Amino acid sequence: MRNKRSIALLTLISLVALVLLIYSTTDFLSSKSYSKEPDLVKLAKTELDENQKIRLVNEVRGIFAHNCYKCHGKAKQKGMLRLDEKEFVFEGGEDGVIIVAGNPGKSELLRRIKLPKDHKEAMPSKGKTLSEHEIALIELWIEKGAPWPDGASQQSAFPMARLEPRNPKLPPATTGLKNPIDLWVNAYFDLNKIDWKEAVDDPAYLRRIYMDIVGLQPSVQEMETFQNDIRVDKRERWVEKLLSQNDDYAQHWLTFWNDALRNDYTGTGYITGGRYNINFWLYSSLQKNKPYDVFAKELLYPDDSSKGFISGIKWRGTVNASQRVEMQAAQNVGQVLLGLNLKCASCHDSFISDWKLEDAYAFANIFSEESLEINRCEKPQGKFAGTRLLWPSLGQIDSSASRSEKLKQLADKLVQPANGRLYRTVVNRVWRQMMGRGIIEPVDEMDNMPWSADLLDWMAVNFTENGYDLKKLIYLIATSKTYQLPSVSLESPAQLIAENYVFKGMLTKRLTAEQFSDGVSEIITPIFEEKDLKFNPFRLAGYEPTGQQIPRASLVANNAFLTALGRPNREVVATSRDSQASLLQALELTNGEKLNAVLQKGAALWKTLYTTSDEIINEMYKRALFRKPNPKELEIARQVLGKNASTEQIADFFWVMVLHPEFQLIK
Amino acid sequence: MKKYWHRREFIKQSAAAISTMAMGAPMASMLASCGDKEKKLLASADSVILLFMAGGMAHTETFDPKRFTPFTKGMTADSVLSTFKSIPTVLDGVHFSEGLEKIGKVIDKGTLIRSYVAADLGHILHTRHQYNWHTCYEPPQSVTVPHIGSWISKELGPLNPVIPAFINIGQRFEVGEGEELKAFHSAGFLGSEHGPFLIPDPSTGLDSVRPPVGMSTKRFESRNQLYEKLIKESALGEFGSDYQKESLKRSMEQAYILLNSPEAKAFDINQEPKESYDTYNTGKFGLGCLMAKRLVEQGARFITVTSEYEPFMNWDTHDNGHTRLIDMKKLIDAPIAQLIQDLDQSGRLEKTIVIVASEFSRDMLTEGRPDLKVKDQVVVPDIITDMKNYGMHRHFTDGCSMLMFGGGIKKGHVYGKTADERPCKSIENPIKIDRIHQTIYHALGISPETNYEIEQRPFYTTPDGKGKAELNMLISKT
Repeated sequence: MRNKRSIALLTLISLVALVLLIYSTTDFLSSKSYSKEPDLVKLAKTELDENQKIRLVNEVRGIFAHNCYKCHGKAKQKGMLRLDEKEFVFEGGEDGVIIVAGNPGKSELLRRIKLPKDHKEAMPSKGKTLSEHEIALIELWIEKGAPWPDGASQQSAFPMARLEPRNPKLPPATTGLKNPIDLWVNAYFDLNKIDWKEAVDDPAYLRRIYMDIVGLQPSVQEMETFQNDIRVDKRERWVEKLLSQNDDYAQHWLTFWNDALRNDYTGTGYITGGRYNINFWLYSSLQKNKPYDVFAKELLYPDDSSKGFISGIKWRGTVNASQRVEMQAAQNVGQVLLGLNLKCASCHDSFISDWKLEDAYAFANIFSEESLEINRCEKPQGKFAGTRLLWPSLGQIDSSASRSEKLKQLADKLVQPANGRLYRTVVNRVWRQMMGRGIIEPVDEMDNMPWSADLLDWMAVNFTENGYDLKKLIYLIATSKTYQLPSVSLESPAQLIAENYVFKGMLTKRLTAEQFSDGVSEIITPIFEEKDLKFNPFRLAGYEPTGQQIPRASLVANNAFLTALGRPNREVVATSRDSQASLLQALELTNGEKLNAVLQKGAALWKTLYTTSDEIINEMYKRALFRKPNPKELEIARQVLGKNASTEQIADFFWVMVLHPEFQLIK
Repeated sequence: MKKYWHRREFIKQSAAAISTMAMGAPMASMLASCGDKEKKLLASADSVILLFMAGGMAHTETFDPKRFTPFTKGMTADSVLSTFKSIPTVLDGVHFSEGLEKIGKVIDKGTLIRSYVAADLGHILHTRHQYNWHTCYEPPQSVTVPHIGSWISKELGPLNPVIPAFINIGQRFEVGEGEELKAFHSAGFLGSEHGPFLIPDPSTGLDSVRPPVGMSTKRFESRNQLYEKLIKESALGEFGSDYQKESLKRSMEQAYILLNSPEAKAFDINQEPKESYDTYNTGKFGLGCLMAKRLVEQGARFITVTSEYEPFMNWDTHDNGHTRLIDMKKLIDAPIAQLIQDLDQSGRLEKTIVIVASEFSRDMLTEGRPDLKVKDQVVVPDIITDMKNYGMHRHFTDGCSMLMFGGGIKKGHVYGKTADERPCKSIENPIKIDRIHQTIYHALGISPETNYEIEQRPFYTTPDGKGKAELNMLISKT
């Protein structure tokens, strides 16, 4: 049992939350804000005004929706109780009323949610227990007389981000800050009392931009040239140079897009003809830096080369109604392009958003020749949903038109600038790839609160004004002071999505399977051969490949080595990868054939190139870590390699270096 | 020894953090199980060996024989129910098909299920049914769904911290439908940490857990020392406390410990006494059983050994069913029986559930389920004149046999029944995959409420958490 004091404390905490919420100036319904702390005592004693009441009850409705609707809503009414509408909430269930306005102590609802989890009357009986904050909020609401003004029901119980673009006025330039990203971050830092730190040094910066733009390690020569470059704008120039290496760029970003668009060279569905790849279309779109509006349009209203994304995977046999290919298309377009979750709503009205079963079917109908019969949890309803976009303000789809015509309308309507969500979503994804965490997390839930709405909104508008140019977006980020801040390490991955996340700089990133493989290929000897390539851009006519031409990991079929390092099975959309190492991975790296064979081969080669162990040690530190070994490191390595190192000894030294955290992590 | 169900880790985070599990992002350590953590289940088992007869094992030709019709030229197809004689088993009145004499002698140590009913998935594809068997979910799903071994790994962790919790023996992935096989050999949203440790060939299994081929132990150790020393000397101070660095370091240490541990020898089936080795050695599958025995005795948590799925091979008999089954039975009879006996003798069977199962059965005529037939894949002549047509060549989903031994499973028990005449379908206690899984979880002490919030939806060990343990198969716990 909680004692009175802690309840008082909780109430205080919830008051803070409420107050912050009421004073919130953002466009989001959320308890998070950056406004100054108001006078708590004063608020606790004052009557709530109409607007404050609406905010409060909607917070409570949100808690009900997430935790209770499943058993006490439209679909099910356990104990004859519904919590999804005002009338039902006050009516109570089979045992009578559950809320006594103004008297939390006599309210059955509160008693039940406060019971210990193993008590047979505890609520929710399934799923997670309510948090202390949630309980306190409900308690406060009842104490305040359980206000439920009529206007409240018009407001959604779920946070929903605005659809249209927003172009906040840029803060005025200040000393040393020109890049608009920095101006927004500067305003954010001011609010959160964070000081700017000094930019990272040249080696760290160059490795970052290489990894983020082309996915490769800079060579020793490139590093030296960069360090010796004395132009004041050298960082900008090098970013520009890397962005112009079209094939290197495409071969890096291909990995991100293949994950997101569920595209692979091999995989489920191909043998039964139930799946199409978009390899050529995707590669050339990236190689030519296709404007993102056109890119999205071609995915939505595809020709044969890009139809793989909305075609989904058709398994042999019968599949659940919620997984038919048209519904897969609706879900994947929703998730990847629009950052929203339609997966719940494709089976029943969602418990986590306002999307209804009918919305999901109406959207899926766009991808279907014939209108689909609505199935609720696999039971046909004998009803049809019409054909609609998720937001009527974006326009209408002609439900009588052919599939092709409907897709054309869909494509035109979704990519219009009025659909701010499409562009916020992609900008947030690119930001996350480079900075390690999105401005909104998770990146597929774009109704969540951004840590800076101004920054995200401004960037999204800027992106559309700049011709939907992904490279310009990357340039803007990579040349900002914000990007150049020292990286931040987290103690636990849960902090990534914690509600109280505060941005202080990019997060330390781990090399992806592809970056690691390509890095080893570059600094030691190639891991893959040309014959391993499942898609060979060098054979494509039309342009000369640029840059380094090691066979890149993004172009080979998935294999045990890459899987162990985190390349996903691309049967379903994957928009982020596991950021932690695991035992199976370590085993693959420690005794897997692939890496050891490559290191052995590389060692034999190096033995012919260098005569002394010191040369090998110094060269390897330079190539992998861009620094000299410190005296102790040199001494340790010397002891192991001896004067005249054997191939085995060199291979072992290589192994240590490529598994070195300084190599594995991007700081 | 009594074990209680427990969750290994519960990361205390705000409810919001828990509920906002990223889509498409397997971040294992972020997951918090939402099972009823206070509800404690008594466990009767602590480990599992799943012996999978991939390709569809006909019940009427193995553990549920019907009237025997010997081959004669000109026989009618519909007259054939079994192409083998029935033989008695150690249980009164219970018969197996000829060729399974040895398993017949140990069936008093377990439960014979004769009424497994596979899912209706339409036009049949083996890998879809195998996906369904191993994950309890029907493909496709909108997220990558964990294998039962991954669930067990996640909920119970390794039994012996040195041995990977989930070991998969005998399946290669370069075969036809290899990609479809990969789809369910995955930890999915539980994170790669709980994925299968793959040993495609048990005879070279040791290679997976010893220093790289050609590297002496001495060299392996010195390489590891070099790693530790160099990392210690680098400017890591500035890295601070960082989960990524920590997880890298921890996994490297774990790998080193495993590769250097005495337990790793369990992977070396050549260390087995010759007599025992020879008994098991009926081929790759038999040696897999031997490895499973050695591993479970060293504290492996979940091991699966497959007869290996390869289209039209092994149990996947689209022709010559009778002839091929003679060999298949030779492959499985001795090693399965020996495994049960060995585990029984060492006392390990008390705590280890051994399961023999297949994705569905086969019949000569019915494709799918008698009440819901699907598109035929094999042409079966009405009149059989050629031996190659003598056998069960169609995919049958409405009556499959399964064996379960040990770990609290009833002994000498027969569960369910199929009809004695065609279509030989389940007529008593039909049981589906969610109940099978939940029975296993129940024996292991894993709560039926176990679930994780994935993309804001609860995802249970069995669909919607509805799987109920079949307590009639279990020795009642007191």
